[in-house]
Amino acid sequence: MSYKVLLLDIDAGNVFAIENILKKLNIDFIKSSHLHDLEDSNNIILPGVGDFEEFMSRLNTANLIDPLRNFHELYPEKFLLGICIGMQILGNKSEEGIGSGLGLIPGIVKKIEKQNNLKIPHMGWNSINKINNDLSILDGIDQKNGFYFLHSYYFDCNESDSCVANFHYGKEYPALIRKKNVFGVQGHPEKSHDNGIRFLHNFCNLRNA
Amino acid sequence: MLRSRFIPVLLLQGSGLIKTKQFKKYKYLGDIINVLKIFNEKKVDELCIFDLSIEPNKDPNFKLLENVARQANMPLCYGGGVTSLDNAKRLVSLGYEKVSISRASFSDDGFIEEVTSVLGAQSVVITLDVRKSIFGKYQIYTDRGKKRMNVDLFKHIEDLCNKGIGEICINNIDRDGMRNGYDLNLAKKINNLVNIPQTYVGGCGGEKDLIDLVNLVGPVGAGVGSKYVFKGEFDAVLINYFKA
Repeated sequence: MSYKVLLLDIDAGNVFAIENILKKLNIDFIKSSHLHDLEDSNNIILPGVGDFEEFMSRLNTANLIDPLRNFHELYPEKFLLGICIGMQILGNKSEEGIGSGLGLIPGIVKKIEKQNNLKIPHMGWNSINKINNDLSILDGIDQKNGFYFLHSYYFDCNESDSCVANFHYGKEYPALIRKKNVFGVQGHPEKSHDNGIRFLHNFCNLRNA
Repeated sequence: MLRSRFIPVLLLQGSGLIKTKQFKKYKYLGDIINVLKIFNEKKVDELCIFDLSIEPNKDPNFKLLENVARQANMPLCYGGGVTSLDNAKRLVSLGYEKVSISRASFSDDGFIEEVTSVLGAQSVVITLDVRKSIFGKYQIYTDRGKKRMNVDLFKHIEDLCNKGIGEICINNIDRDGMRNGYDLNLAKKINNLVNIPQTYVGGCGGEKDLIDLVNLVGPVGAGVGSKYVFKGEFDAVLINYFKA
């Protein structure tokens, strides 16, 4: 199969910025919302801003819910990366909406806890801290610089080993989650300058051994 | 740790950028795409674009904004003509992480509640242009500083927070282009009032003003106009960027 990258475009934002980075990196990619392109790709990027339910309904319109829900079983050789809302819908459900998520990484999306002087949404540039050191997707990432974040909800992992990097905002929250070949990043790598470019480069180069 | 955001604030007139002083046109800066490309290279924290040429009830210049979004590497916020849910949604799908609403924040038809629930609070910024009256009272203006709203600033901000907005941006008319420092008293008052992120625009005269604002209410958004686009005593146009 061709080592192609699919940029899943369901009209939910931030696609241009990712496209620019993939072009700059000379990555062979296609922008599409068709199942046959998903089947034809090795690394799939699911970007998103907005609302959990709205995002799920757009996936539904594109007939992608079932193939994605069964991603671990159907496509064990492929890699999937959800960004921001695209990460949150990898969980089972969200406090933000009534529908269920894809359930690829067990967890529930919850509102960030109100504490003292912390402002919600969590908005701006924040550091990340690696928990798992063997992760090639974070190679070359300057953790102190971190990513640009913009969200009021966070991913509460059911399985503690799903959380592979944290950010700190009053307490620790997951910045990067993972189960098997499925990854979710809470920040916006497409708007995180050098770190984001490096991160997308790393993801697009993940291959099954 | 979450860091403060240092934000170039760009003012559109047609497809060109201008800089104002106390809301009156001061200088033409150049084509927005050229300026954007330089800010890309500077790796700015965020970029805020306000279109001053959108007449009431007219749509944003989507064609231009799409072109901007296609070439922007930084997080974007746009304001100007965001008066309907459709416009707001379209901006987000073009790649504007945040939309800024001003005049429509005064409507009582449920628009703010609707837009925050559909886009999520994180994408909804309310920008208020304020000016201090000769009696020391803060007043909100719309329509580029022409129309004074008969609403208490702090009450209006509280109401908007109750409607679920994600950020409040205060644009100080008297300090616009003056480089005489942020209005720290106002920033402190608002910071004590709300639990959402804030951005202050108007008055930045250099790094020290950023430090003062950050020390007082940080992490915070610090909008900068003149100091990011001018250099020298004659205000030659030279795009530059600094943080605190």
